Amino acid sequence: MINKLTQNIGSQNAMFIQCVYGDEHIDIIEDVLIPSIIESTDKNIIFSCTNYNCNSSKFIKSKLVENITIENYIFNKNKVRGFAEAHNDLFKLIKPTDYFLILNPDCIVSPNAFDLLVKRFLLNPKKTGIVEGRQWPAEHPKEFDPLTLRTPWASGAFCLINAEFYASIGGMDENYFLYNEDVDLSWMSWLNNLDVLYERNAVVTHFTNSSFFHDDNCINNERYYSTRNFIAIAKKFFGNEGERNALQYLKTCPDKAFVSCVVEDYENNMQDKIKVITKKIKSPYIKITGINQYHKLRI
Amino acid sequence: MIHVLANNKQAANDFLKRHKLLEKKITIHLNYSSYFQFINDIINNQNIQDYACLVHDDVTLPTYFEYNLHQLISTLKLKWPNWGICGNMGVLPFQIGPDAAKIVRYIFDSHGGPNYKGAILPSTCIDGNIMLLNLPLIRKKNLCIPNFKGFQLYDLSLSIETIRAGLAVLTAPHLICHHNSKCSNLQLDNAANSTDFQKYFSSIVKEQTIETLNGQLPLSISSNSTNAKRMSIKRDTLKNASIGRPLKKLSIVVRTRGLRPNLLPRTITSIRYFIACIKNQIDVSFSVITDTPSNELSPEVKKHITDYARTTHHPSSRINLIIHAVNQSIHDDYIWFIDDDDWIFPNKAVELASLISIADSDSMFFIGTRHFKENITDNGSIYSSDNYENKADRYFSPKNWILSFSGTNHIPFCGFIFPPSMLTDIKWEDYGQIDYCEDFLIQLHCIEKSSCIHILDELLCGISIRSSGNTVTEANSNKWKQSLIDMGAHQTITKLNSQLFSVSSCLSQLQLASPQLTKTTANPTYSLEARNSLEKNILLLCRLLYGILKFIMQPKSWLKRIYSGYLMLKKGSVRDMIRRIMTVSS
Repeated sequence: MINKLTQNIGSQNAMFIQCVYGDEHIDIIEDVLIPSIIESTDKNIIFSCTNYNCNSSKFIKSKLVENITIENYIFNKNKVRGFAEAHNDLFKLIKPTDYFLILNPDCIVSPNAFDLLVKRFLLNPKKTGIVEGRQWPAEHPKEFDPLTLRTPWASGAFCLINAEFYASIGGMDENYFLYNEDVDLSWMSWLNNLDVLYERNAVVTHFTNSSFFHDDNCINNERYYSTRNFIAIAKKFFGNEGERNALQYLKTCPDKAFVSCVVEDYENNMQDKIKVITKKIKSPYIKITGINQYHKLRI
Repeated sequence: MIHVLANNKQAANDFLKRHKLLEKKITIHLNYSSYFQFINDIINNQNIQDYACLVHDDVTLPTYFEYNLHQLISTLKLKWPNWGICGNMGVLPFQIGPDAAKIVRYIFDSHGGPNYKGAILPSTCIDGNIMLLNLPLIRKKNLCIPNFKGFQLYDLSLSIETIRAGLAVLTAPHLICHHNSKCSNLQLDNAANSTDFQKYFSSIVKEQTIETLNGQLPLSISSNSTNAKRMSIKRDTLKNASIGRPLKKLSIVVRTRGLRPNLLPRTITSIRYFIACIKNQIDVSFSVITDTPSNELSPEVKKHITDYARTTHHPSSRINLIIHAVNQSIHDDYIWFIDDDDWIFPNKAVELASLISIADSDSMFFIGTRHFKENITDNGSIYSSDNYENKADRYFSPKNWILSFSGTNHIPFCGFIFPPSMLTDIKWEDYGQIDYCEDFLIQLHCIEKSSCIHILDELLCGISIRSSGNTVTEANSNKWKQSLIDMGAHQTITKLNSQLFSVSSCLSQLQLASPQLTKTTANPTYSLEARNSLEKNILLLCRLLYGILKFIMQPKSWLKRIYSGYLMLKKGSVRDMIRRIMTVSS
């Protein structure tokens, strides 16, 4: 049973934004993210969100705030969902046409950020799969073509997605749980002859856990799942040879105990679920350049 | 009240002889093969009510220990209502003092004496020589530790289980003693490396290594998919200790003259984000103050600050803005100044809020800040890719705060948080023209008045550095020099706390001689890594020769060391293997 808490005010000319959050993000979304969206655009916004923990009793209140309709969805699933699954759940309910945006709950939107993504998409909607925005203060150092704006992959923290393309591939791959779904989606876009673009003028503030901070002796989720999913994505797009190459890459990692744990998790929980892409890969943008690296670095 | 697990009757009698005044309060326990069992028996013994103080038989207590104990219990009830256990030596989830210590010692033993005074501090783990247990709360939470054999790591186990139960682990000076410990590192290593211990600790904590009083304890890695069931020791230590403490008030103040309207929105948004992260932990108020009249502020600036308290004060000066802000925040516990072109990183907001919650009111905090070199066209937007570039630059470690007494400021203004009440006795008029060093003066003044310096070595503030528009990049440095000498003149002439200015040069000299010379473990053995390569090789050769001599004299002890060396080799460290085999205890 899905619980829709308010009526949609009308989706004509509205921009659909999807956001998956946890308990710890609720105050940030209500106090910072929503006000930043209001300040960012004059368009009608339908902000659809869901707590990734289906068992939590905490959620964003559905309401109408100025030009934003906030709709929170509760799914009767009794589990903690991954990034892809939660977004797929929202997409199946909302059924946006043309395009929709996904946004991390710990982002702050700058003026015109959404409008710039949409403008870039509408320049060539039949040829564009994903348009990514820039993150501040830590812009991702991956390559992009300054003339065509093409980039190998788009971060799922803040991007616009071609809705027809998304529906045609059944959404993001839920096997990853966390991390690499955005790389996978980008590669699927390239396989479907759709561009992945980087719109640098569309900016969100995103205080990610980067190399600036100590990791408190823990293996953070990003490091763990990214490394595990690196093997999975290599197998999915490059077959058994890709899997072998990924494992060979990991042998160079000095932390043997960590790699052993990650490989064991992959073999026990993911390996059999990977569906290898049979289509021949011609795009130069689908590539692996290092451990969990799918791009060249900008100089 | 005082429970002593004695090795044998002789040890018990010796203990009682040393503590004749306390004899009636002491219960001797014998014939235990496991300290774990002993602790569980104490917890489960309903005849022991309220509090139990577990003491090693090789400890000597001060004459007035009973009085100190009762005073401690009263203080804990009043100020730390969520306390579970308390010891006299512990690992901190943050750092304190001039050398940014991670371990606090209120003890005399073979490694030295106390390294701090006066403060009760939350700890991730305590030493087992004395442990005071809050039995009512422990029993309420059904706390118990596993029934392992032996006399190693029971204190770490009890500390972790206490934190897991949602209670605080504390270190207090009232439990100071002398400990005549003869604990073997070999026994400790064997216990730590055992499969049972590894499995037990790995299933409870997220950390890959646990910082203990005897160094880092590496754990076997588990899948992150089980993280939800495991706790973070550091975070939960602070969180538990802050439960029941009075709600603290932090005032964040942005000074602006309205000259950077393109950057002020970023500052304000980052502060709002920070507040959203911690509003359930501490009470935060946020204000923007300016001495620019309203009709002279640009529309963008006015638009962004209308939601916040805005004060106008004349005559115009950076000092007057500070005085005004302090007066407005005088009833708050702490104040934090952020410049209108800088921003807050909220990533470690929860840690900072927890630290503020547990600190005493006359404490101050040093936090990490970093320069970011920004190229922005004049009044350009930071959001336009044509106008803007940024690059991370120098990090200002809060651990270097003591070096500010060298005459050079090592901590930016946004890098420390202090009680506003500490500034009420500054006679600003005595300092001449210190418009450019007002933060330096404030820092030194507050340090002298603080009872505890807390250090959180995490990045909390980004400082914008541009080719123009910063006071630090002004071409004409005369104003800086004038401010510095005016401040320095008054500081050096006054006699108050004059010794503090010699501490910094002393530490600097020690650091130059041996960069690693910082006590980060209970055992102040100076690290081999501190030496240059010639010294290292000579030291290793000496150890080799000594080891060979010892082998000839005592071949049996060789076997134990070979096994210990084998364990090091398994971990991949050849140097440690050689060191283990060749190191001989006297």
